[in-house]
Amino acid sequence: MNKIKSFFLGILLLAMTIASIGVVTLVYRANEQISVKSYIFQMGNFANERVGLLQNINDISVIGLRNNLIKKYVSEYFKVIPGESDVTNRPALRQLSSSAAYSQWGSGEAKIIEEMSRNKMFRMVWVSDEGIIPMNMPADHDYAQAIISEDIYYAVHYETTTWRESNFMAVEPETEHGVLYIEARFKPGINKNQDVKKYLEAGKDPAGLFMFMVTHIGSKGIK
Amino acid sequence: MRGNYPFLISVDPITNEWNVVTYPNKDAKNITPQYQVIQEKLVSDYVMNWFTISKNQKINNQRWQRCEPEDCDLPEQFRPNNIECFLFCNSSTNLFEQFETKVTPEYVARVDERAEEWNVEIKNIMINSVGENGGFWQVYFVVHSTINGPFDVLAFVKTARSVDSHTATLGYYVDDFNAYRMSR
Repeated sequence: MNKIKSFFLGILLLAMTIASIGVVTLVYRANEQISVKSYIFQMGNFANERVGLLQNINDISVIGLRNNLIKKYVSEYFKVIPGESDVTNRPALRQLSSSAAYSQWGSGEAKIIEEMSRNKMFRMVWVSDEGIIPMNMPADHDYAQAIISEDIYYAVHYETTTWRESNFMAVEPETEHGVLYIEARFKPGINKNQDVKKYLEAGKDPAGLFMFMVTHIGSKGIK
Repeated sequence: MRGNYPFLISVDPITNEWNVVTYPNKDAKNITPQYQVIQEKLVSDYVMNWFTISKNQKINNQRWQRCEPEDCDLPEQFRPNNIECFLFCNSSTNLFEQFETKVTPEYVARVDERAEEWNVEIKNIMINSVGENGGFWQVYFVVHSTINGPFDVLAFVKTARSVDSHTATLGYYVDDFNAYRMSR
């Protein structure tokens, strides 16, 4: 009888040992399969509006990138920020201009901006894609190829909205339209001669990293 | 490092300002993160106080009054959501004079003539740095008027620092403030 009891006890212990090995194996495998859900910390809903949708530079067409740079240029050229400390020093505009074009701005429009800024006025500029019109483009020329192979004259139609008084909520802004004629040199992509990391860490305007330069400006046509 | 270096550019739809999202400007000491946070907090509190009008003139007076410089060191100034003397204590002398002479009369008229109230949508204040030198902020927010409904406002705020005063904000105060109504 004792032998039978010992036999069954042995079977039970063996079963328990096998079961425990099984459980440990399961736990071990489960441990291997653990996946951590990752979260991105966000500041709030308005963060969407602040940063906007990401767009890879390779997904922006040659013309799209060129248009963005022209809009940036025209905005820097005309915008008025109230109380700006050194209006005549606009690093982004300097980066996007030849020295002659920058000097021309400095002795012309910059003086008007300086006066407006001192008087606490605010002016913002808007340019649409359709408002950027190349002037010296041969009709049968491949547009995207032409804008990167030669200097192009553009008539840039812009709209400005100006608030002539600050801190007075009853004041209505004034809207005006104009045309700025520019000659620009452009190539897609980032300037390879530029040390990008050094440039960005110095806090410079990123627009200067692109290969775009306005060489001539005029309000009534260049040629 | 040259060439292939990833970075993000954020283009401001209003001013067309291009900002790099990934790299802080380590050379400009006044926009290192901790100082940036203090200035952003000051700017948002300032906007709240400048653009809040109550039907209750007693509350308005607390907010708009000219105080004594010593009042700015009282414990009340260190309390969150303090409104008493806030504009006086956090403005440059010139700026507070502008507020007193130009803005307050318009606000008083709104309250007296129409019992109008203004409130700023606190969760929707967007603050961005302007320019490459720091201390200059562009703020976009919505003000709710009990008479005209909501309207968008864009403000340019210049902060400055004087370490001997303005202890509640580690020396930072608002040196210049210019706001414009962007919508009706």
